[in-house]
Amino acid sequence: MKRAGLRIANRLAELESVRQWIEQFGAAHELPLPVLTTLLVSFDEVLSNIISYGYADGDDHEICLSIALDDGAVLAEIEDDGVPYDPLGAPSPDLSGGIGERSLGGLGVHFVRTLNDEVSYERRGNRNRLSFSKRVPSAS
Amino acid sequence: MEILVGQSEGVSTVEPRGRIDSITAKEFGDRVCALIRSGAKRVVIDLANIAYISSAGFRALLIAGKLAEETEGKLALCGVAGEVQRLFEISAFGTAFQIYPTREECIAKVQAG
Repeated sequence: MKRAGLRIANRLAELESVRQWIEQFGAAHELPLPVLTTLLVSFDEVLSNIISYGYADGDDHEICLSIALDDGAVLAEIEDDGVPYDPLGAPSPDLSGGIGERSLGGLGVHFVRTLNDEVSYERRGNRNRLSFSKRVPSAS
Repeated sequence: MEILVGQSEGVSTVEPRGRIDSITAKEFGDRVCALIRSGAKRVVIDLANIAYISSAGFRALLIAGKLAEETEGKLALCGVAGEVQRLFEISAFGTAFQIYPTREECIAKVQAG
């Protein structure tokens, strides 16, 4: 089993380090492009949400990330101590209409749900934990 | 973020490079909107050199698209392929924008007005 962990502060500037961390993991394990894209977009969506909306106190907080490759699937986890928030409970976005009708509410969560094979949320004590996984097609 | 801006037969072309995500979306969106506000009525955004786009990027595109409509300009996209195409399909944003398979066709359609 191959695993990588990262701890970041709740600042949007940290997202560049996260992107590089994901790209390094992807290169080290030769992840196919659709799997890599899923990780890159999913982490971007969830982390920007946590950092922007997860804390009411304006303080520094630590967010814990991990990616593991095990038994033909990539499993990612994001754990934070922000306000209780289950992204899976968010309503689905309206995916119809031209530019004038569109709003973007829920699009990020929709990406996370659709790109991954499984997504789950758990609240434990004062921490949110979001997990998402995607099967890695094996090279034949 | 590297953003190439050019002109082709009266059409402004915008070619971002890298990715349009929470980090880069603001710069990208600001650039396109500044172009429209400075008078560009025909704008093509070529996404061929973008590896992926997240909801922040779609938000920037939507804002630019609305601004183009408000100023009675035309904005269209090209270079939507691979992973970027997959993300457009999931978001169903293909219905919100004019998307053309080639840059040449995109420029021609936007020119035609």
